[in-house]
Amino acid sequence: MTQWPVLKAVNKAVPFVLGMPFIYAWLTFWYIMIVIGAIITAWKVWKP
Amino acid sequence: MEYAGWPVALTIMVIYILIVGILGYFSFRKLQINIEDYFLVSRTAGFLILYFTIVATYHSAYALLTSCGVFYKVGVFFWAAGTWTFLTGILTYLFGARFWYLGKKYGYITPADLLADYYESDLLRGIVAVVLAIFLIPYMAVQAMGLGYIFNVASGGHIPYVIGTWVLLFIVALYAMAGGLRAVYWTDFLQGIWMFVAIWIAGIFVAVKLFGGVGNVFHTLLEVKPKLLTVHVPYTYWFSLGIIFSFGIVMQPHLWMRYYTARDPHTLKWLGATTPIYLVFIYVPAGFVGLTAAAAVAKGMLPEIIKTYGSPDATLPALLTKTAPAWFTGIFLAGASAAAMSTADSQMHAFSAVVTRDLYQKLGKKEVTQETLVKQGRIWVFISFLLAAILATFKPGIIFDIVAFSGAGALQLLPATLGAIYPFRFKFTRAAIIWGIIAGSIVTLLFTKGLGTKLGMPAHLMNPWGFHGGMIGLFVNFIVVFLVSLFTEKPSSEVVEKFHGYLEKVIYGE
Repeated sequence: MTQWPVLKAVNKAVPFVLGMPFIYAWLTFWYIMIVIGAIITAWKVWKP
Repeated sequence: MEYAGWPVALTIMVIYILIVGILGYFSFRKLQINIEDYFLVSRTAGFLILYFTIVATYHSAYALLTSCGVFYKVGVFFWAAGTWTFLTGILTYLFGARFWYLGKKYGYITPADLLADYYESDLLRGIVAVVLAIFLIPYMAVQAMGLGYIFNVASGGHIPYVIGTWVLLFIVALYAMAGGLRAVYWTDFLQGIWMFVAIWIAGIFVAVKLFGGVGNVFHTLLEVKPKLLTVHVPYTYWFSLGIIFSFGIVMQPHLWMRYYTARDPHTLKWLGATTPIYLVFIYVPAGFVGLTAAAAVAKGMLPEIIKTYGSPDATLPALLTKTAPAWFTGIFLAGASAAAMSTADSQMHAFSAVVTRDLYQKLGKKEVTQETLVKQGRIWVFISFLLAAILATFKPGIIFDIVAFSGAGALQLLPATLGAIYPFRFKFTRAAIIWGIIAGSIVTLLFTKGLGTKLGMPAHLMNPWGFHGGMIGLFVNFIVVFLVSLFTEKPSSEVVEKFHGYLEKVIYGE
């Protein structure tokens, strides 16, 4: 199966972060960052 | 499915349907008999109404039924679904604002209006309209299937799947025919709020009720089914889905046409920035449901969902009917119906707009009154209802695969769209775009799992290297577009100025 080496290591260890599986916490962190980033970009960069 | 609380659950669903019907009736009374009002609410939609119609249209039966089932089957990695949903929100600005400017200036109603005007081709209009209409039918059928499943569960199996499918889809067709896009928008507003609240309450409820909280669900899975906390799907496949479920869905007429209807471009900019909040975070409670179900099945608290109910799409209804009071299940199932109905109405309406505008009015060269066009629109909404209901009756596949296939088809319009709305130095030509769409669509059909093998393709060639057939189609499409563009006539300077010159001027100033 095609898979990134980092994910293979994570799959093996199944670490938890803040009570959540790492994959779940990692993706949640990025989605929150992207939502904040989109709002700031719309406010400062996007035209009109 | 035996379910003792069905009279209460069914009554709540009927009350919900009555409320939707009343909204449809009031929007019918506001309708002006002209094509811009019937298909585009006279381009007057404000932020709030457009917000809920975009999110409710994007999230269909798939979001409330299928996503819970996919979490149940593949585990936490389905949270990667957030990648394509935030991208969809951002495309509302990157594509939507440009569609809006051109639509407002040149009076476009459908996607083919814009593309045929830029590439100066009636043949392209016909191809785009036919591709969009054909790939939309299975997507409409998905909503009908969802409605059939929900009504069957809510009635404790007393109302057969086929009856639920036909009756609920007919109600959708009725208000879409009568009130046009205004009816669709008003009902989507209610449905968008209802489905979001319902799935969040349901997700938290089942996790707390069965395991005392979401944290305990994760720890139970670590103990009994740790594979569900890992990534065991090829990233090439997820990358494909990321492109198909964002670009592919935005290319479909039911979302594209929404961008024409905004009151102003500021509305679209702020929709682009804020719709990801709803679009992404609806999957959080869906994850709670799917993972709670998986933990409960592994612990022997629930029967295995797929074996018992025949489909992972039954995960949430199965969980609720086993754990929640009937009134609560009724409210949630109404929310799930809202998700399916709010997408089905938009798709029927868009199907009707494509056929009426592109095939009947423009290609048929009909000089007809506005009344005749609205009448045609209503006839085609009804025909779309018949097509979707007939297809749904035969259950053509699982919801996940059908939605992916539909998005993969519409994705083949991406090179044409990019060429029309972004001023790249290398211009795509009319011939290149036509051959690209034809080649991309054929490759998509041949390399999509399930369909390709039915068309005689060897099974080992399906989803090559883990990519979905639609991505292979898009790759071939782009190659054909680049190569043919080298040897064929470029768009005229007048057309380039009309599109790219105008967009640069209004977006970035002189």
